[in-house]
Amino acid sequence: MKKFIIFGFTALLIYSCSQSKYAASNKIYKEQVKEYAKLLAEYPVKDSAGLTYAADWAGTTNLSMRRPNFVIIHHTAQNSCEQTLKTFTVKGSREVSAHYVICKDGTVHHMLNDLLRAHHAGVSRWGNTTDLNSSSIGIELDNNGFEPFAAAQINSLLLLLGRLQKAYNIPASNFIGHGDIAPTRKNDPNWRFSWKLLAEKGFGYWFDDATTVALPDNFNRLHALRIIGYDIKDTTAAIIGFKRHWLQDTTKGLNEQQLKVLFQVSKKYQ
Amino acid sequence: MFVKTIITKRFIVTAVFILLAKLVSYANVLITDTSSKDIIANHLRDTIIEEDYLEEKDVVTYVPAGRYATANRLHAKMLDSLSRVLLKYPITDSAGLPYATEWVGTPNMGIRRPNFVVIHHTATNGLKEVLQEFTKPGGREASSHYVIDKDGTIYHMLNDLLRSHHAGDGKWGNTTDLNSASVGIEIVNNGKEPFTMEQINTLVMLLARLKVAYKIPDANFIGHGDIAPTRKVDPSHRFPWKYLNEKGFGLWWGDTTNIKVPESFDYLMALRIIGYDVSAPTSAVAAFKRHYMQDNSGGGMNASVRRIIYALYRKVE
Repeated sequence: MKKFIIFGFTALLIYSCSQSKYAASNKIYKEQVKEYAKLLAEYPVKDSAGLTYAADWAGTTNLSMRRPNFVIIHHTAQNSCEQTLKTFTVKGSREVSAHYVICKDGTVHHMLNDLLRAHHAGVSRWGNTTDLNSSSIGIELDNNGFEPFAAAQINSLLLLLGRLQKAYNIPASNFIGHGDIAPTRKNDPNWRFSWKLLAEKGFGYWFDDATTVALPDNFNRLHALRIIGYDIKDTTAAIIGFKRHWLQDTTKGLNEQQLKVLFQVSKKYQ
Repeated sequence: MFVKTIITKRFIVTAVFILLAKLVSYANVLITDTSSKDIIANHLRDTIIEEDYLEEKDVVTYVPAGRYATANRLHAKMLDSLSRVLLKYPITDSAGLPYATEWVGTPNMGIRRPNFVVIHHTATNGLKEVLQEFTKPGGREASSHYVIDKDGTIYHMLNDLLRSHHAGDGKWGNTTDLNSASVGIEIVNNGKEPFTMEQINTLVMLLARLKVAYKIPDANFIGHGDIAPTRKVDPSHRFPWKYLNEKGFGLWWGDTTNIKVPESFDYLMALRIIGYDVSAPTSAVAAFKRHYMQDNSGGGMNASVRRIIYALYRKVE
């Protein structure tokens, strides 16, 4: 009899120990998502702001879920994947998150359904889009900001980007970095990130050879940056963002050769 | 003793059961391979969603009846089905990616929101054709979030947070999926007549609501003809964009008297910066003239068009 009781308690103990240390935040995830599901399933409103809504309600049968149209790549600027998982599971205070976290060994943590909105972009702008969180997928690469990206990490990233591109029909032009959409605040992924390799695989644009190109007389660097997508309110920041992405360079200003690269890149976006 | 044995047995059975359930839940980590068209289909195929997670009664409480009762019932079913897609756990096992064995969800999330408003005219004589078209599954599967009848009555046909099918192929700036990024508003108008006062009054109130609710920037209130200049001409040149701008929706160029257009000014680059897809330059110019000059004469360029493009471009630079 006693044996049974001991066995029972042991079973319970094993069960509770096998509970993830993220069980609490996973539970909040489920509750939150359930709330959202209910919200989406609500009927359209008929009664606000003094508008004359029709008495006879007609719901459309032609509908779908809002999907991402951009992919934003980040580095975590933290020391380990574990640290990032912790940050993204803290409710309150900053409430940051990303859809995916890729560890140095290539392990992928998929932390949020792609169709929901993660809080990774912050105040940002790209072209005419000012709510990048609503229109993008956020991918965080475990990297302290000063080191190269691990090969295993990039391999996983490429596989993941392939999946996302196919699932949501994301154009090649729309794979960009956090530092591109928030050039005054952010510098990730760091300059060591190989955008060229990504572009060769079809994610993001790269430029054609710029050595022999002649700049047009009326070439305007700010317009070129703006056409690519940069917010040019702070010119210096936009140029730094551009150089980090396309020239693997962290310095200010643009020389003749770099202007040619800018011209070549902007042509891709026209 | 007998009772005790039973209790203990139950206890053990329960413990074993919990352990099994735990194992099953590990095995049941869900697949969300959502090739865009197949979202619903995948979802319906997938039966592993925790059934008690969202009960039927949580969602479908009341389906408005009336002339569109059949469509409304289907609408309700689709909403329920789509909303359940969100309940799936993030994937852990596709495309050969090494997913982590332990799932970690983030509680820091929201619902994707619109960042643009796209205005249309229905190109129909009445409301009825539009409601019929938008409640007909199959075929073109077109829809919009709102339809505004000639007397100013609003039909709100889809939750703002969902994606309606109003934009079609289009591009604005770097955004290529306008349906995912916008709210679509159809105004009942055959394309050749003026818009009614009631319609515009209602529209302005509606836009104010949307602007506040989703923090939509002034510049992002645009027309269907702007985002699909080779295919679409709506809203027609009679649409009062200037008035809308005065109310805080959309851009306007203002006064051009003191404006000097530089010799080197590249108007196509300026149109591209405003947002137009300039891969078909004449169409882009035609769309600009319709929107900002109430001119439906097509894509011909002249000094005054150039001047106005320059003036507007200065506002968005």
